[in-house]
Amino acid sequence: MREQQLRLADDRTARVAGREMRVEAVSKKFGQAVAVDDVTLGISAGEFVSLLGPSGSGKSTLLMIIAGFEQPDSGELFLGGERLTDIPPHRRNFGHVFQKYALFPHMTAAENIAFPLKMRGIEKAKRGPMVANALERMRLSALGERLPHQLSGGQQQRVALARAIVFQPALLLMDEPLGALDKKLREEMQIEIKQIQRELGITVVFVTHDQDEALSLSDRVAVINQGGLSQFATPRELYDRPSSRFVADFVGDNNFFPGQLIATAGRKGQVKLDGGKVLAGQLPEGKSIALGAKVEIAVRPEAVSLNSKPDSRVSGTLIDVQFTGGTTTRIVRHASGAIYLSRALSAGSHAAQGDAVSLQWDETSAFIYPADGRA
Amino acid sequence: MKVSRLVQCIAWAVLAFLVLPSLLIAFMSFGTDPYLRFPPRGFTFDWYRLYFSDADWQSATLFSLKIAIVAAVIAAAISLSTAFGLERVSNPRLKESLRLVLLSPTVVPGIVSALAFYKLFSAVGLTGTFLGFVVAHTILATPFAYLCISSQLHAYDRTLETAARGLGATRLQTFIHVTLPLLSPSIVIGAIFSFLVSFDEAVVSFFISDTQGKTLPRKMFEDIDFSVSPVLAAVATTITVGTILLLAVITILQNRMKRIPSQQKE
Repeated sequence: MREQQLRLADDRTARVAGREMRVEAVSKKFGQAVAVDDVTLGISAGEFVSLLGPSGSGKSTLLMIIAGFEQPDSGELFLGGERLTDIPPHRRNFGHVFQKYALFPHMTAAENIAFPLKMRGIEKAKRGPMVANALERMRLSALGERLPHQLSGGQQQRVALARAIVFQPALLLMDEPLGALDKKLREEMQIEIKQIQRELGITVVFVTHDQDEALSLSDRVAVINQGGLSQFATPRELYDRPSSRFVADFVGDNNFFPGQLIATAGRKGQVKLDGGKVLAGQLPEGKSIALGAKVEIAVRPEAVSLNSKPDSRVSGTLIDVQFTGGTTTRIVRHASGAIYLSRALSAGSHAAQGDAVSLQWDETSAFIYPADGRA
Repeated sequence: MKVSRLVQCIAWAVLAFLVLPSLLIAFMSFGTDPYLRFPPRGFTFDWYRLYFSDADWQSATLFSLKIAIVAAVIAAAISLSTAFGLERVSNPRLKESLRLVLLSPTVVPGIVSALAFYKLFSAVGLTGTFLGFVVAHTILATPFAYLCISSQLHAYDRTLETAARGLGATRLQTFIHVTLPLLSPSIVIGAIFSFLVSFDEAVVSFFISDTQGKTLPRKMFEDIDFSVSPVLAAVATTITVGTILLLAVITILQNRMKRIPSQQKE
């Protein structure tokens, strides 16, 4: 079901500084509320993994459990094969970048970066060059003596990152680290983070609610919903083969057509739409849906093209054409009031606003999901 | 903003009203007459010399200083731990009740606490003792220290402690390197206020003093009864100057608190 196969450290292990991390069947409740529900994740050494989910999905709690600030009610954590569950946070040797950086306001940038070294009992003479090195890597050499409040948001962010990696942590944990930055700065930092992660070969667990961020940075993305792991896959798989209605909806745009499953043949299914039309689509892997069950067909906007002559397929009125540079999105309103999207490279259809159009797509790009299924 | 002339006049008048008595006392402390007189005649430092050389005045002053320092340290320590403790109380009613109990010495009339301390201390033999004064003054001063510390703790970003722990600091290291330095301005301010409350305290001290152990305010009271020597004015002026210096320290610390925000920018 939702459990993912553990992916053990691959041949990269030998070359990288980061360690492999396993989260096994971890659950956590706060009172009656389930924050993390039986999550199993295998993160390879040197891998960049994002925990992606809406706010309140439990992704931050999961991060806090990995960090050791929260104890799981059940389940275990392993780092490179060693049991980690009972080890207190300060002895896990993880780097942390917090949401609002959490720089110590009474220490200079250099002192902030030296802090984890000092706590590890590294003598002053050795700390100096390590801090200078970290400052240089983050292009902060001239700012080492400034206090955090004398630095811009982007600079504070870089100090926080330098502080988190200066002691060569086994794992780098980042909790929405870019949330407070504006768009341009955020994109710059994304590139910077990715570069450092590659150079150091560090294992990263990155929490975000921003799917673009997750898709562009990560080797794999764990989609978390209502405390559970919905899907753990590469960004490509996540987008092309979402395993559930939730993932299909949460990651990227999607059109959903509600109906009832009336026939199956292998991986193919026939769905009778609420309007009476029958459409074909792909059934999800490893899941069986009972005949007669309520389902939805999901089709990505870029798989949908518009036909100016209404025919037997789903049809509606073209209500808006949005040109967004590389692509054009056409918005169609169905008689039921539902809104559908069709996205194409700028040429696209010739239909004009107000025209009656029908939607068409290849049935291999239509996916059938049980309606309202959480996972 | 423009302030009308009338408002300005009123403001200066109020200020003069507040400061004038202290200024008059200061003037009188330099007069040559052997009794308090206004306007003073002549100019002398004799009364200060007398104050700083007289054994009785010295012992009362040192007694008061020792009490105030110890009471301030204890009050600040109690307030720091209480402020942390109350932060963690999740039940809002319980939290508010505990706060009120802690702050209650400020609303109980001085004479009431004085009587209570007197009855209690004479029963257990604490009147006139260093310990007795320390206990009483600590109780009276703690609310002030608590208010200082808790208000800064309220604005203080606890995720800094989480960050320190995550970066490898033990709980003790976190407290020493992060919590304490960040809260130190309010801890010092709280301690100074407590010191002033204790040093200044007259009503309770009056009741729990005896012939051996008496604080400076009590000694001043007694002297007014016997004589109205300008040495009293000299003592009062010395206290005023000391207080002004401590208030200057407080102002400097408050500015530092503003300059280094204990919370991150939003």
